Amino acid sequence: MNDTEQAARRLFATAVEDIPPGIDLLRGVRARSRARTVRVRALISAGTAAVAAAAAAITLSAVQAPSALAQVTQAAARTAGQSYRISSSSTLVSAPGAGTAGQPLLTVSGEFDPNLRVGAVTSVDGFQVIYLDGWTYLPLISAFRAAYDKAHTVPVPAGKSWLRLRMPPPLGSGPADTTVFQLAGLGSTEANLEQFGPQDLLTLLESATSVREVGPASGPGWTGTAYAFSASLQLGGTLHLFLSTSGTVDVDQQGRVRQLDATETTGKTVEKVQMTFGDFGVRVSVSAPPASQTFTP
Amino acid sequence: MRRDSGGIDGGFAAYVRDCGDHHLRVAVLLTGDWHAAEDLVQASLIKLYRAWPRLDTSADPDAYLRRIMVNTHRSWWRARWRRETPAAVLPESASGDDMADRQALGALVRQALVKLPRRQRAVLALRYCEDLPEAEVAELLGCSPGTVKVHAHRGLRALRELLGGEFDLHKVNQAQAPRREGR
Repeated sequence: MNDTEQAARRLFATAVEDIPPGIDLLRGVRARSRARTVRVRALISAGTAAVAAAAAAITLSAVQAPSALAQVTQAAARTAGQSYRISSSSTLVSAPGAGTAGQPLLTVSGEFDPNLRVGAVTSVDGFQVIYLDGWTYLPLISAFRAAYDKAHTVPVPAGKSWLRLRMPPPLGSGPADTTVFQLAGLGSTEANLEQFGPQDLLTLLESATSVREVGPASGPGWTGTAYAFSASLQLGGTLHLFLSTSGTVDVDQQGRVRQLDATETTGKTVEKVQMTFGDFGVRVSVSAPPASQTFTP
Repeated sequence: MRRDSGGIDGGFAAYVRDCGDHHLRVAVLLTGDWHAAEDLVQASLIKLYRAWPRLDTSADPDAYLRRIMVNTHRSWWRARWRRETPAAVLPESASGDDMADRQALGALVRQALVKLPRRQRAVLALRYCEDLPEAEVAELLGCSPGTVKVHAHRGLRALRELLGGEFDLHKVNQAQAPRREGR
């Protein structure tokens, strides 16, 4: 470590040594775990002001209701920070040289815990994609195997029924090797493989720039508000692709995303997707496939 | 093998007592404020508590909590739930009182950090307070080790500009440090 880094370490050590008296983390955790209602607390300290919100509902201030934009972006952030179950179906609108407009693409159900980075998505055809310990496990169904072998000099070895790839970084946080393009990197041109994951959609929603309230919304066990939105993200990396989505999002009274009806555009491919979120806080438990059956390129 | 939940008064409580202050220190570098840091750590501990019974005994709860804190801080920052407003006036260093000097310097450093972009702040906290290697910081933040290097370089440069003389005072080369004479 050079002098500058050593200086930073010394300064940080000084910056963190004086924990104020009265902070009791365990007492706070006990109190929060008993709480059933949202509390809003204002903190003023040495010229610094912050407003804190916890758990379900949010009130930003006692004077002004949050804007539609704030409601949606905050709902997306809140939903993306906890475990949940999803069900999703998508249809192709248009894609260069592939498929027929209106062609159903993929119908899946799944569960995710973004904090533990574990999850699983299962299609109606029964194949399952698993996310665990920083890896994505893809079943080597014939379409995936054929796509991989076509794109690589060395094919998948015999006897392997799973492909293991590094889990991509959050959308927009790194080069364009996201979920969408990781599958494209298999060499597949199948539009039905290029799907935004739910965390990717929520990330896009957090970037929404245009939101307006359209009316009430409801579903099994919840009521809330529907909003029309549009959002886009320019990816870096080698692909420099432009991702955009627009549609409606339903937010429940606890400030969580419940349903997305959106049109996704990735480059020149346009798809419609309907995704519902529920069972927040679900315990997600997955297991890796047997190592003997797994191929890691 | 699953970790024994032990209830909030069992293994989890022991973990919070043993390791909570360490994570609080990292959190204050992320948030710039002890109260916001307390909020961040407690919110993250709640999430860890919910996952506690499912954690494997060989798992490192520190690594889990660190990831939860980084993700939670990122979502708070995006949602602007917590306004990080730097103090209008930075405290002046007192003289003649070592403890007061160090506390003033500590506040200065925390408030300088808050002026940095969130990612630079996170990289500096994880690299130079948590002492994590670049690869692990990259994995936590979802970027490449090269990007971590860039953020660290820019963050240190910005910190040096913000702290000015205070930063240079701490760039003491070991060879120049005063030596104790043996008796």
